[in-house]
Amino acid sequence: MAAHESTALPVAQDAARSVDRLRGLSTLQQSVLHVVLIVVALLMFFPFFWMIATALRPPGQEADLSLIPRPYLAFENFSRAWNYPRAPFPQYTINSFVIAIVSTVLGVALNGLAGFAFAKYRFPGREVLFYIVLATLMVPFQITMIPIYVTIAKLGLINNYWGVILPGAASAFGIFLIRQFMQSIPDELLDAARIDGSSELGIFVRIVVPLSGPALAVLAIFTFLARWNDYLLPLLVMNRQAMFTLPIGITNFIGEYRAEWSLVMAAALISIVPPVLLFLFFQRYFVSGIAMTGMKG
Amino acid sequence: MVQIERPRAWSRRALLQFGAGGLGALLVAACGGSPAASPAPAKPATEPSKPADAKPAESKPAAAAPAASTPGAAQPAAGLTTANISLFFMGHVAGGMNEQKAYDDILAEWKQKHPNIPVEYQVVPDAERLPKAQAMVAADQAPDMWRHGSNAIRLWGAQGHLLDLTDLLPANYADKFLPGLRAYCIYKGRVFGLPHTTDTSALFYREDALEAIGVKPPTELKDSWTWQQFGEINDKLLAVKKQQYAFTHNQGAGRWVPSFLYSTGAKVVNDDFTKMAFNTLEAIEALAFLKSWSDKKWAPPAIWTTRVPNEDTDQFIRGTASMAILGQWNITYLDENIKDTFKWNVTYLPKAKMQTTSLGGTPVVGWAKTKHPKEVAAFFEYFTSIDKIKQFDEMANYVPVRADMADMALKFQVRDDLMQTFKQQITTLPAAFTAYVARSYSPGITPIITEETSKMMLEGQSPEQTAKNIDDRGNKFIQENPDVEAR
Amino acid sequence: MATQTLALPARRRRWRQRDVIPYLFVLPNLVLFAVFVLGPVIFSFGMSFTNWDGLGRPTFTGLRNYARLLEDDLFRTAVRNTFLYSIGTVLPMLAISLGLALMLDSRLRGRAFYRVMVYLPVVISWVAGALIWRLMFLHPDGIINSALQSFGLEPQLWTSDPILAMPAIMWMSLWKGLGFYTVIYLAGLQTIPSTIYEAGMIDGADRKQLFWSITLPLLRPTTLFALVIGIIASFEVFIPVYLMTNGGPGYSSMVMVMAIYRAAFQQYQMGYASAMAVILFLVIFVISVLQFKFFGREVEY
Repeated sequence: MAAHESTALPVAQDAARSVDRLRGLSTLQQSVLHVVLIVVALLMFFPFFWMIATALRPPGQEADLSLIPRPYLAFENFSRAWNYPRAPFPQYTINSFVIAIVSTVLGVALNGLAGFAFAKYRFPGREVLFYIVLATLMVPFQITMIPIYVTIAKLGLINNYWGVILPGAASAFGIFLIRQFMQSIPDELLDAARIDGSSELGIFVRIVVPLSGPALAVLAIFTFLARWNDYLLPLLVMNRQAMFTLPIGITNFIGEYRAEWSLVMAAALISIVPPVLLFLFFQRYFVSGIAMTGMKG
Repeated sequence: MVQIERPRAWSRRALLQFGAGGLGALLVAACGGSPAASPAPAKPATEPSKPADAKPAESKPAAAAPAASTPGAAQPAAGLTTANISLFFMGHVAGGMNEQKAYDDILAEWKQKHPNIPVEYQVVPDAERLPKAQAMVAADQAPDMWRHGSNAIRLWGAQGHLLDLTDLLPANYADKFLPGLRAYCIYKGRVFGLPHTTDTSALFYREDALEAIGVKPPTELKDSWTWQQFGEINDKLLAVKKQQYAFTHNQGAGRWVPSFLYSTGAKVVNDDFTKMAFNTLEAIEALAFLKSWSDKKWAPPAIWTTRVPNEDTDQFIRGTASMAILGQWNITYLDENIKDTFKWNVTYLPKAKMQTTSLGGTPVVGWAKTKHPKEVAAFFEYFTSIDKIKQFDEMANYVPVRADMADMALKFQVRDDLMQTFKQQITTLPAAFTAYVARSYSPGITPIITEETSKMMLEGQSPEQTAKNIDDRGNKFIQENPDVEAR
Repeated sequence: MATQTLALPARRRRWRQRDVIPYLFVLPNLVLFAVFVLGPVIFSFGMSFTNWDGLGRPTFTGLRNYARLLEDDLFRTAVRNTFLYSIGTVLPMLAISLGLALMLDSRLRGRAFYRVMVYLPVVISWVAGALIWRLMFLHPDGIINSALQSFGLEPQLWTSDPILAMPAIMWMSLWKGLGFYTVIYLAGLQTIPSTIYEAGMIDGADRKQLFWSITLPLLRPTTLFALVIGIIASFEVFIPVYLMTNGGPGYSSMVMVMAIYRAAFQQYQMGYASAMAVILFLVIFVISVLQFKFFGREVEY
């Protein structure tokens, strides 16, 4: 690669000139791509089709395995799950939202800053600290859950939103992701801003964040998703059903002796709506064709 | 000098909106973070590496309730607090709606009797309920009472986490329960839990299937088929080809294989519980018979590895199997989903040398560090009283756990006719079997038995090798984890 | 002038804000890690030298647990299966995700719809996903077996089959994870400026050369991330195994975290399980460090 490329802005796409990956492909080749994508989409969606079939199975037909539920499509299962006595699903949903939203905002801020530090600063101990951070991913939760729970209890955070939000706020995954993406921000940009008199935090907020749209968007949707679907930690931390989250509510339909699969699947389908909406909202930030102008000159 | 154009993405406005949304959620979190209902967290002085005292809490109840230990006059109600407290009872969903309603009713009645000591019942998912209780105990956050596991009472009691009920209840209260169930609640002579429900299995069958082969099921316990006869019936059923399999059975084979074993006279451990005794000719014979279920295609092989509810019953409902070895806990589900598709009934399990049924059930236990031991005991006494057990079992389709209810006639809500068979079946628990289940190492042996037997059923391992493996692995396990009473 | 200086009284050395600030930026995370992760991890590792049952007082047993692990056939199987699982899922998943990302980053019609379809399995919880796949794999009349039978093939035991159990779990994981890495690659593709492609095309490169000499190398930070995270996650797979096969039949589909859970919570051998966790940690750590050594060179733009 020629040397002159190093001055080109590496982190944003020019609106008018996003990469045309289809260039030079004949219609036939494009149709092949379409076929491939359709097949992939079908394979990805088929288990959902089964999920929907299970969710629509009428009471009294729970053992039935036919593809289309008989004798009718039990749409009432959705309201049955939602209004289940002793299982306040609206409350569960609120709890899940609070935990997920606060975790996402906190997580993006904290891990964004930390990732930036690891990417763009040279400081003594950087490598060691980064490995330590990464090492936190390498021990499965199942083995640390009891001491973690004891810690949460000692801090007085049992049955409290913060008991779920704080342990997961710092995320090695998030730090690592941000670090990788922010590496491509040219140092010259940052140095220029420093010469201009900007503080380090100012550089982060005014320069780095706008340029890191894709990474921050991905971090936001994955953090939200992870906290939204988190099952074990909220189950341990929350003692009262009023504080339970959606995954716990859904799993409560799986009893010791019998499971209400239709309610499980109906509730699970309801529960995927917010993360999907969030994805639809944020995906513009990591797909080309959206205007993200960058440096000129 | 470079010009930096404001990009459209992540504009200030977007950031502000993002932040505002987060701030709003933060405020909600702060307000709702500690609802009034949560108990003040105990500031535990103990480190996780030094959990609660290992000595059983014998001294505490004796000091706290001198009146209650006087025999004869035992009226624990008299010693109860008059302050307004609340007992936290952690349970799980086991059966269907009927069972949950039974809980609601009984707790409401208790509240009427003791308005200042309401019981707050919270339900957690079944699969993780014991790990959750374990974590709560480690952090001194345990509920006042919870529904435990029958094979774990003695272990937890020995480690000092369970409330010693011996002196809080009327004298010899535990004797009122079936001996097999009582055994797993008692450690070194002290009572650490009370049976509340138990599991019983029997043989379910389709009436049309047995009619088609001209077989009449036994109507008396003494007439129950032998396993030999059972095998012949299976062959006949397969020959008629009405259903693909002759019978299906409850999932989680490792749990009930020991009961089957004891019914043939074989044993899992020796008589002083120090070593495995699986590798005997009798056991190998029993295993060989089990293996024939798969070799002769009597039973669907997949059931051996499943732990997910409904899969066992569904084979019977869908008509994949003519008969089913299921439990009384399956009756409501079967009733709701078979309806009029075919007529089904229940008969006694086949017997080998003796009749047995699977052992399980959910006892109730209290926390050693509860602030209200007397009230917990009083509630347990109420909860396991004849009246309340009758009420619960009739609504939720369970068989009474009390020995003094053996001759009582109960009117079960669902398929009353079938429940009578189960009532008789439960009288067949051999003492050696229940003593094995009561060992604190039995939870560790169960996965070993499940794994080796499933290798036998699904990977072609021979019965001899299976028995040997179970013995070897089991002995290694017992060596590292001896029974609490032997430590 | 906004540049702050911290002048030390003893030596006249100017500390720039720039030297201190990185520590401040990572401080909140480090505190949270220390409290909620590192402390418990050190505790757990310490327990590996005891026979703690998770309930009572632990007794120090030195290296006994590790000696037992060496002879534990179940653990050996778990280690082997975990490696197979990792190689068998991570590499195909990354390759396919990259291909999907390239296709979805184009101007292909309907790409928004395909993107959502590919991402949907990621959104569903592992529990719901594993349960649905289990239902689909039912023998003898689950939907997959019904489909096989309609093609004249034998229904398979799938999750009860000693040979097919691991592949069944792997397919489920592949289905679940594909969208995740596709999104990561989509974001990664955004870090490659169009100007570089144009320069390449001016230089006369064709599609293949563009991919191999521009796209792939510039994606190296993304690939490193996906690889490291993918391998760590695959070594810690648990829910699909727990819900679909429970490690069975026998222990043919046992994986390391399943073995840890089984020892800790089914058998009350928390100390023994901790030793397994230490081994797992060491394996993952070594592999990750190796990956950084091989692929971690910073990309020069």
